[in-house]
Amino acid sequence: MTDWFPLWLSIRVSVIATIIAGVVGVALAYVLAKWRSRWASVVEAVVTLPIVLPPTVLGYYLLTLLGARSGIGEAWERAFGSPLVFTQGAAVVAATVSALPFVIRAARAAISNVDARVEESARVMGLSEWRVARVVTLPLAARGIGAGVALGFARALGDFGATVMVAGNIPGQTQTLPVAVYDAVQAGDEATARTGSLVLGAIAVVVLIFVTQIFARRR
Amino acid sequence: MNALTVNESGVSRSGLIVNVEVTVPGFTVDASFSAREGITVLAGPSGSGKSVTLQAIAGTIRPSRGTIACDEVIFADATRPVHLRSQDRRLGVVYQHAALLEHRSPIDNVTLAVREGDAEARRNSARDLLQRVGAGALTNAKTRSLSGGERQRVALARALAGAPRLLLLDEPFSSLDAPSRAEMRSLLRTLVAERRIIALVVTHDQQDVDALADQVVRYEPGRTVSAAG
Repeated sequence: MTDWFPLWLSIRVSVIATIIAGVVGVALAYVLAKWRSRWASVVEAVVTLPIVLPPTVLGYYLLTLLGARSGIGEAWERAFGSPLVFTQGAAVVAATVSALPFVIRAARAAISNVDARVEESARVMGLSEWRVARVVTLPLAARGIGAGVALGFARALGDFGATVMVAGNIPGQTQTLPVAVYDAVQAGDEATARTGSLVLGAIAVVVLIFVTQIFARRR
Repeated sequence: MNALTVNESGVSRSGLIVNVEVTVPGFTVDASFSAREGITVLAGPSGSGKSVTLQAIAGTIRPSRGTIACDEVIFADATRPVHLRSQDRRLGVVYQHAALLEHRSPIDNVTLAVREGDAEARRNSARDLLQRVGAGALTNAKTRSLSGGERQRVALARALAGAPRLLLLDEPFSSLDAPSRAEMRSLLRTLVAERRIIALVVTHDQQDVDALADQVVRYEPGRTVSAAG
C-alpha cells in the first residue's frame, strides 16, 4: 500500500512555510522597495542567497545556525525541551528559507512598480503610511505578490537538499515527499518513486499555470 | 501634528505664501509668490519648475531653502527645519492623469479621502460630491473603464473630499477634449468660489490661463518672473 505520509507532511510543511515566507517576505520586500540606501542591495543580496546556493550548502548553514551547539539551537532546546534539528519544525525552517527569496524578489518588483503618484495622492488625501500600504500599494502589487507566493510554495514543496540536511530522513517523522522519492530510488522501489515524482510534477505544473494566468490577466 | 504658526493667535487667513528654492536632480527652481482664495494659475513652458513647486507645496519634495505657509501655518521652513507631512497640510491634489485607485470604485476612491464622520456619513458625503461634480452616475462604475473626462471629475471630487483649504491641480485638463475641458474649467471655477478655496492650477495652455485665472504666476525655466492679479 502506498504510504501517503510524505505527501501529507510535504503539503503541511509547505503551507506553513509559505504562510511564514509570505508574511515575512512581503514585509521585507516593502522595506526594501521603499528604503533608499545602498544597504538595501546588501540585504537583498543576502536574502536572495538561497536561490543561488546549492541546497545542501544552505542546509549546512542552517544546521550550523540551528544545531544543538549554536546559540539559537541551545535557546530552542531550553525553551521547548528538545532540539529543533531533525524535526518537522526544522523542515518548516528549511522550506521557509528556500521559499523566502522567491516571495521577496517578486513582491519587491511588484511594490516598486506601483505608480508613486498614486501613493502620493493617497498621502495627500490624508491616509497614514500604514493605510497607504494597505489600501494602495499592496492591493496594486497583489498579482506580483501572488505569483511570488505561488513560486515560493512550489519551491518549498520541492525542497530536498536543505530539508534532508536539517530535518533528516526519518520515515513517518521528517521524511517529505522529495526525500521519500530519493529513498525509493535508492531502495529500487520504482512504484513509489514514480508516484511521488508524478504527484510533485503535477503540483508544480498547476502552480506554474496559476502564475502564468496571473501575468496573463495583468496584460 | 507639529504645525507651527507664524501668529499663534492663528485667526488670520492670509492665504498661501511660497518663497522657496526647490532642488531636484539636475534642476533647481526658485519660486516666490502668494495666492489668495480663488484660482492662481502657474503658467509657463514645460520644464520651468511649475510642477516641482506644486510638489513642494504638497509636501512630496522638501525645499532646499525658504518657506511655504498657508493661513499662517508653516508647511515647510528649510531653516528650522520644519516639514509638515502631506497628510497634515489640508490640501487636495488633481494630477494630469488622475492617479485614481484603479482597483477601487469611484465612490471608494472619494470615500477614502473624506476625513470626517463614520463610515456611512463618509460614503454619503462622497456620493454627494460625485453628484456635485457631475459624476453621480459613476458611483459604482469600474474605475479602469472611465473616460479621461470622467476620471478627472472623480479626481476632482476626491481632491475636495477632505474639505481642503488648498487645491493643487497639475495640468488637470490637458488630456481632455475641448468640450470636456470647457466644462471642467467652468465646474472648477464654480467649486472654488462656492467653497472659498485657494486653488493653484499648473498649465502651459493659454486658454486655461484666460478662462481660469484670478491671478497668474509666470514661470520661465527655473524661476517665477511675475505674479500679476
